[in-house]
Amino acid sequence: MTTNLLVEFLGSYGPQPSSNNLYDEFVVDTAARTGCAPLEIDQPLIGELEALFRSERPVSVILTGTAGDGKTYAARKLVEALADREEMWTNTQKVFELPLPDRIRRHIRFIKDLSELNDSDKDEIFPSVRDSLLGEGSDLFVICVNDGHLLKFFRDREGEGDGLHHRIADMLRKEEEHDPDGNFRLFNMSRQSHQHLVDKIIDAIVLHPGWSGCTGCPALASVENRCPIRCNLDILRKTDGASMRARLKDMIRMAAADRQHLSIRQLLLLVVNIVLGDRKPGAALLTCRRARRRASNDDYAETNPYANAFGANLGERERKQYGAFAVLSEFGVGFETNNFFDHSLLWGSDELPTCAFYGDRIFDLLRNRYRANPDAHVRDFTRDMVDQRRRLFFSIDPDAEENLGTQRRDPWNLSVFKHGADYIRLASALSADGTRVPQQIRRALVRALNRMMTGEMTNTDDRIWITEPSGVYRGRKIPLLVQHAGPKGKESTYASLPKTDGNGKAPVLTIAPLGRTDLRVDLELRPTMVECLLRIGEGALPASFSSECLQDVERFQLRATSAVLEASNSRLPPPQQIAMSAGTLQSRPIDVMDTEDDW
Amino acid sequence: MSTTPTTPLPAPPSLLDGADMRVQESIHGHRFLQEQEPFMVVLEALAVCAAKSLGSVAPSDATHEAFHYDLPHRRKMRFLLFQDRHLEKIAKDDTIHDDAKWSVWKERVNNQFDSDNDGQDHFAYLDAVFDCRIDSLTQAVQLLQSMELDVMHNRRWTSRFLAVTGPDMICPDLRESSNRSWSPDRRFFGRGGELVYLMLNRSRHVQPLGRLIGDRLLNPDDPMNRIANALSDPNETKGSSVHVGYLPYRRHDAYDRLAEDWLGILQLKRLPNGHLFEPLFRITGLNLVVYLAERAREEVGAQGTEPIVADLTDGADSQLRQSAKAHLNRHRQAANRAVRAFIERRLESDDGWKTARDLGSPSAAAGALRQLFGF
Repeated sequence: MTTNLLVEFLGSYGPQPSSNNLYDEFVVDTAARTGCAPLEIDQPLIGELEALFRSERPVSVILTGTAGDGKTYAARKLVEALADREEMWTNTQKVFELPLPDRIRRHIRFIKDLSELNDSDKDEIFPSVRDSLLGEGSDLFVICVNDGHLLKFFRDREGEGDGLHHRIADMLRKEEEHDPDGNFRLFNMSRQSHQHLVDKIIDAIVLHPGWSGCTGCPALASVENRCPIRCNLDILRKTDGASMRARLKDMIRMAAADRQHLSIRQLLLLVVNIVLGDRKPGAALLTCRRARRRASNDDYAETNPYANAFGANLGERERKQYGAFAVLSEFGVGFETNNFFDHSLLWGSDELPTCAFYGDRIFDLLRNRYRANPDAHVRDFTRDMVDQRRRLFFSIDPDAEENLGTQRRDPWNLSVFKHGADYIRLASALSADGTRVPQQIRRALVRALNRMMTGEMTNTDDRIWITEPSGVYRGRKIPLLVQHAGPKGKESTYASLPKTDGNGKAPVLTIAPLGRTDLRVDLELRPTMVECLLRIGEGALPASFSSECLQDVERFQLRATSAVLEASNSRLPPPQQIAMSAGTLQSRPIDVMDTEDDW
Repeated sequence: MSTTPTTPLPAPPSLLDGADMRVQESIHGHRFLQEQEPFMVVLEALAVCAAKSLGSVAPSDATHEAFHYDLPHRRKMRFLLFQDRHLEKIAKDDTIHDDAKWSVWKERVNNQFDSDNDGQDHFAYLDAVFDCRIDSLTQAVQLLQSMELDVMHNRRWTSRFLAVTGPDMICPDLRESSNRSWSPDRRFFGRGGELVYLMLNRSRHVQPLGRLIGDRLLNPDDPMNRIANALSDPNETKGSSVHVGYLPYRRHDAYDRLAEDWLGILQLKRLPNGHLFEPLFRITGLNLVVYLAERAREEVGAQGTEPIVADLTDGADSQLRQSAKAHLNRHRQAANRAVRAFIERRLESDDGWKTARDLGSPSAAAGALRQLFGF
């Protein structure tokens, strides 16, 4: 019987108590024991750091980020890149010293994790760290630490820190990489967009050379009863718009824009669980033996990658403890649906994508039982419906020709983000050069904002009608126009959707008085906000979807109003009442204030 | 540096007579009521400012400011806003010709306003302002109605208030007696605002503060104020004159702190005038709570401050909740101890009480108590 050691190796990245590989320090060991090559996630940052240390003027580097962002990994890779001898950084060394390339008697000192040092070690190393960050000492540092510990390290020693605490706090807040004096650099690895890393992470697993170890296994050769691990690999290897990978990337991108950052460690865990997850009681992950048994017993319902993506193979408690599943479960995939999908699943339809192992093959029997006697089988059936809806979510391309005009076939109907596809289109258009935001999305956003700001169910969508929000305790609101904001050149205040720099942050809608970009006001178009606006644009009531979004819009209104006030030197024209006529917003002067006739 | 109060100013004659909580009011001022919500306090303070601009009555080290100020009734404007039942109905009524609407409404509104109407047009002043156009009047009324505060409470129409951005929007708390005459009521305007006025008046920042209040909260040119002005009868000058309350000390840190917070908010140029009110009343509420706690501490002679623990988790953290509760109780006890300390100190220095004690005479003691505390 063939056993591929890679399966065991990958398992140690997965969601189980013994998952040591979640910590870079242990990867090297496990890799040596199983003979598998460690997962290599090629990060541009490592090359950048190597170039920095080989440059004319190398400076110290601080790598911050939450657990699992790859700080230690990046540092270890850097050591490997810089060391000219067979220098190995073993796990037990908290501080590792390496001669600076081409320099005499200068060293780079790597601190694997600053928080692991005890107080006396910290006190001892502090003066040289400080000197180096002020550009004074001869040694350079690469410090891995999360931002909380980093700030505490300097705050505790503020008296002798020469303002470093303040400076670093400032850089973290403003997300700046360069120290103003140019003496060190700060990389916040939680701010890196993992959107581009997702492909690399998936590829590192599904294209691992170790899969060649499966050669000769009968479960690999079998067509009818193929090894479920290999089935799942096949699914994840696809890269087209209708692939699981494409939807996963969308979700991770949206989560990041909604400030739900997933670390590399969590992404590795997620991908491993998709491939190896096993719902049958016992262990959470497949081994080669268990995989062969599932195949021969035709138990594919237990190894369903579409359910594994949400941690269905784990207990409720375990699932919650892993960020990846907590974040993805917020999309509600499988629990949201529409009549088209449910009807097609229940009665069969050739309009839905098929799957050789995880479609009708695991669903047919239950569906027939349910159709014959719904009451007796409703429990099992609903669970399987969830799995099937999840499969559909991951197998339909929202941008495919046949789905574009048909709202009901949009896979995002199977999640709480009914307009997820529009968010992705918006964010993609704004992060690439030469692409324009589809007009229909832009107009829907403007229409919804007008509805929220005026309280009228208007269809006006060619420009934004800025009003003051009503304050607390106020009565019935009569919207008063502060100013219009529209395309540049047409109004004295312009609204725009500026390009983003592709760092994974949400796009923004900007309003600025003409010639006063210093007064610009941004509304962050996070996925939740876009969802809220697009639903309101379709007729939902402003307060019904999310009161958080409502408050965000009110704050935006107030800031926009004050920017307009400031730009006009507090000399606004008299306010106008906003009224609606046949769905179109119109302004009406306040008669008692209208002094034009008095001459 | 803390300016610890030395001796209180004498209360204006007969102001505290008959007050139920005379000792508390001698400590904290006449008077702070738990029922008076911060937004009412600020509204009342602005009503005083509108009548006597801040800084116009100079505080003195020897005597308490004693003045009367006028509370305008604005009966017709308030009637149009909160009582009239006909305006919107007639404006929307297609069976009445547009040209006739004004006179139809006039007839009905006069009947409602004054049932013994002898044919007098109480709202004649509107004809010129609104050009006899009912739409213009409806618009103005609706706009000003949207400035009403605290609409969730369905109060009598003499106790409904507008958020103030101009002097003509001040609607004091009034009571209507059976003969339809109006007089000031202390139900919602319970004097807390008068004390805030006095605090600001005695603070170091009274001059700039007076100017800023005039510019930003009591500006006659404010758009909403112009509407209020248009709806008011220029010949209706009826008001009620009331006497300002009692605030014991000439100087206190709390006055300057409060004034600094008001300055800080009123100086925010980019915050539209209509949005000054909310932060203003919230910070005023906090300042008053701190003032009350400080005064109690000073009377007891305790050292150090008792923190105010605010549970913003809505009870989610039981430890925090417990701590907030414990501190609240400590503040309550301190207030009670302050009353005791105040009484004991006054008795100690009182000859009548000493004599009564030396003589062991209960009737003499009762006499001394009545003399000192009117009790």
